[in-house]
Amino acid sequence: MAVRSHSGLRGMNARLKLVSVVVAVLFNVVMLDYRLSLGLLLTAWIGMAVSRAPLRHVAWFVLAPLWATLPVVFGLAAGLGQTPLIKIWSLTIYHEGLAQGGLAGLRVLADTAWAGLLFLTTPFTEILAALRWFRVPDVVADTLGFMYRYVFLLWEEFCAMRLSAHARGGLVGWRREWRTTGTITAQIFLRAYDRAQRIQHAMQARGGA
Amino acid sequence: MHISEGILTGPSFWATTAAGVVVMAWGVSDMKRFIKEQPERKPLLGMAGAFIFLVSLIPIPAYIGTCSHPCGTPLAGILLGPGIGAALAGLSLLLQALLFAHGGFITLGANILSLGLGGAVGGWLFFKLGRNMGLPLLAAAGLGGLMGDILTYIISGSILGGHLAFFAPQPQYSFGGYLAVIMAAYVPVQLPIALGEMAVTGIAVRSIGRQRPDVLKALRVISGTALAILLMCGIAVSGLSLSPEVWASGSVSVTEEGKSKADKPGSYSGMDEKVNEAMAEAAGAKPHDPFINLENKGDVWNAMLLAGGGLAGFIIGRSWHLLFGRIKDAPNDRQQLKS
Repeated sequence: MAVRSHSGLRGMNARLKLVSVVVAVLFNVVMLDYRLSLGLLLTAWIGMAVSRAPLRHVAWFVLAPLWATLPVVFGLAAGLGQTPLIKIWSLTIYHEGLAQGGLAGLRVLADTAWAGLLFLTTPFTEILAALRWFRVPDVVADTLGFMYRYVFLLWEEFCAMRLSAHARGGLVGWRREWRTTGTITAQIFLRAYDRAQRIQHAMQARGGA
Repeated sequence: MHISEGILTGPSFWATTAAGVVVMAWGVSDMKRFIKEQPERKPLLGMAGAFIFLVSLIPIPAYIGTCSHPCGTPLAGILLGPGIGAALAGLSLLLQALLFAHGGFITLGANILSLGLGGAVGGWLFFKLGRNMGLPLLAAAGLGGLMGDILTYIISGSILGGHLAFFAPQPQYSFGGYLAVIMAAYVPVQLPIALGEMAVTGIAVRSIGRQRPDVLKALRVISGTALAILLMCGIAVSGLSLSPEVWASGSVSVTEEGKSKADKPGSYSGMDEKVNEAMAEAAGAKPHDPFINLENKGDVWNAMLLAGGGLAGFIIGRSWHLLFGRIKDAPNDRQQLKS
């Protein structure tokens, strides 16, 4: 998913980018200032634009958090405050709550934009190497690498099995659907188990750990 | 079930992050021990993490900054242990925040507490409790799946309610009030998901146990004794199809005098005899052998069954069209021979 060209932040050291993201997120949560959040958001968007990140991927990192942001904004708007702003049936939106919700929403967008900036301008292997440099335990970095490598493969297998079950009428009715999903889940786990052993043997055969 | 990014600030953020770090440290130490003991299963951790990642990716919006979906962590906790399950939940949450903007960095600690501690550890605890109570794999794992989800909701609701009541400006309710509102909002969305996760977790673990009990043994989900019981159950189920004579020929029980009771086929004392004798004695009747005791005749009973089955098969095969009807316009035997 990372940009292959060396434009913009692509050529920047992954360790520096990782530290920048952590610092940006920490400042965002500690300072609680909408101007800072707005500044961080714009900085991240400019960074992605300068790095020529694909628009489709940038759009994902803008639109995906909106799904989770809307309940935050409306939940805080209805759950906090003293000064009523709007009354929708029995639900009252408060002025202070809306301000808190808007601030939280801005924080979400800023944090997610910085995550996108890191991910869209840095290959995952470089992120893992940076984590190792920061003395993150090998087992954590290796597990993250395996997860990133195989998550899509497992997903495809799950979808293929589910489609096959659907074609055979295995998803008719909720009881049968639960049973089928449980059986498929077991199969996915067993496949992952067997594949893990094969991977380990292959790595050992090549002189790996 | 994730607490959304941006909602926790101040002491809630620091406290949940610190607690999340502690849980992760415990989990990572468990992962290291797992790899040290079973180095050939190192990639399995990544696979299991990918599995949790998949299951907990389908979001459904809920109230005040949460979105719901199957957790997946109870199953991971049951299969890989509580510490590893919690750590994998944390890594999965980190990747989700990075890749899909799901959950977040600020709420990572809180989500590790709810999904890792509540889901994986809680699920594992209730699974073990169920097993110790003598429940079968299906029921024990289902209990773990259900309770893991419920604990996840309780911890999420408590963190969220605590933050809103104690640290957010101008709260409208007390902690209990927020908790009640959040739980009331969770129930219609989360209860079906929790029940679904209960069924899926139970069926998945039972299915693994039936197909590959060695996997559960290797992962220490079941003990050696439990594996032996599982195998014995399998042997017993398959053995039900065997005739009593076959059992009798292999069973040798020794009496107090040291003599074998199985001197001849058919003389073993099985459950039916014991139960029937006990019932007869309780009713004041004297137990006696059947009036027509074919078991003493060796293979006569089997031969009769075989002959009867063969005869029935011949009759049904000869007159199947009378039983099930002939297909219209289907060629008969003579027409087929001619063609």
